[in-house]
Amino acid sequence: MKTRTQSSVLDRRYRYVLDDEPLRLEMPPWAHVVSVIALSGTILLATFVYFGSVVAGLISVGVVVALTGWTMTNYRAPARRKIIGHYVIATVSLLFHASEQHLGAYGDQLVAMFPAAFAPPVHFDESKFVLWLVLLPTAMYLWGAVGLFFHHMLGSFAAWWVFSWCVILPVSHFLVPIWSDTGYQYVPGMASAPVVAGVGIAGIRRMRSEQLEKGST
Amino acid sequence: MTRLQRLYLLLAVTFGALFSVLLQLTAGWLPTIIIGVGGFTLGIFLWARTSLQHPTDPKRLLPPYLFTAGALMVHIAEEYAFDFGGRIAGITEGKWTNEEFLWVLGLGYPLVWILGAFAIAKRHELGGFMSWFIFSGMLIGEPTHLLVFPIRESLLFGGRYDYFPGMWTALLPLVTGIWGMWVIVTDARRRKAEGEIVGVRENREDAE
Repeated sequence: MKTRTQSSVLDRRYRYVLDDEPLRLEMPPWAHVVSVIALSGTILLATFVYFGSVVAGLISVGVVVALTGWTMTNYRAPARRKIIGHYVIATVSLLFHASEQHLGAYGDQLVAMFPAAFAPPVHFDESKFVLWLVLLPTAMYLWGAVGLFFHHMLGSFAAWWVFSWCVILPVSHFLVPIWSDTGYQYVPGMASAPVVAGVGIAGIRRMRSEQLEKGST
Repeated sequence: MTRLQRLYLLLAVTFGALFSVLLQLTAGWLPTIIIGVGGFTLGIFLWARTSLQHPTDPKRLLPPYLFTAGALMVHIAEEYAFDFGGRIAGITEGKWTNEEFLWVLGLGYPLVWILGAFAIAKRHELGGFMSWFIFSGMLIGEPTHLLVFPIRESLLFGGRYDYFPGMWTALLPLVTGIWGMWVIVTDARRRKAEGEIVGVRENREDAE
């Protein structure tokens, strides 16, 4: 049992250490890229386990491109806030593109093109495509825009991801059928692919050219 | 109100009316009353009183708008995952399918409200309309997932109060929507008090 003398010694000691002056959360400069790698890796593994190698392979290409672009450009020099307009247009483009994909049952067609890759225990279909690759990612893109707005490093990564995915996903529609079991065919998304890819390429160019001064935020 | 503002008001009313008609044709009377009539009417009224003549500073409005838009997509994902369209059809005239719900509220309408963020960033009056439509829709529509739909279902089919698709994520966009409303109202009051008219094109440069 503490005596009064021991309590006051502890109080005096900790009072000086934990005072109430305003503090900022300090994170090491490598924390964000490590977090992105950890989160992306986990998502890729989960995608592989539940949706198979084809879907995981596509997303992994996007992750590599986005990570590379981000670390080489906006990791230390955030993109200018006005890129948000372009980012929103890119998000709308991806959703519009997803509408064409869903109209043609893209998820089901992917399964038909690569039956071995989607054999059990993998379970992928159109409803899972819509839920996990359209609706929920769109929410993440919109929240990523908040990060972009506040010049946060993760916001810049979100922008790199969205713009990269605007290019990689449409282009994949023209490449993936080459290796399919059903031969080359129309893949839902091909019609809107050029527009979406154009928005993505323009976005990537802006991310590279419109940056704030390093260390300005 | 200027001629341009009257035109925007007319465009907004037309959009709301068309949206309500589409909802009635697909979803039936209950979602139409809640979103189409309730949310739209309240949104138009509040927009005309605030950001139609005093477009909100995008630096203040964009964060709550983007948070709300994202939260709404998560909410729609939960509804889609658990057949919200079919369950609503069960407590109304029985017209809506989950596929129709997806096309109208999961893929179609989000195209418009996400573009609303672009209009807000440009400090356009129609961005103000879209923000009020979303925020008032959240204020009126989200509590119904907890207070109306499950109760109606239990009254119609018996049984206790139980899960209804969208329940678990319903309050998230409501909270961010109320934040957004507060931003618009306080910004409009300040600009009105300062006698500032921001709808004119020459004054838009400082919003960039």
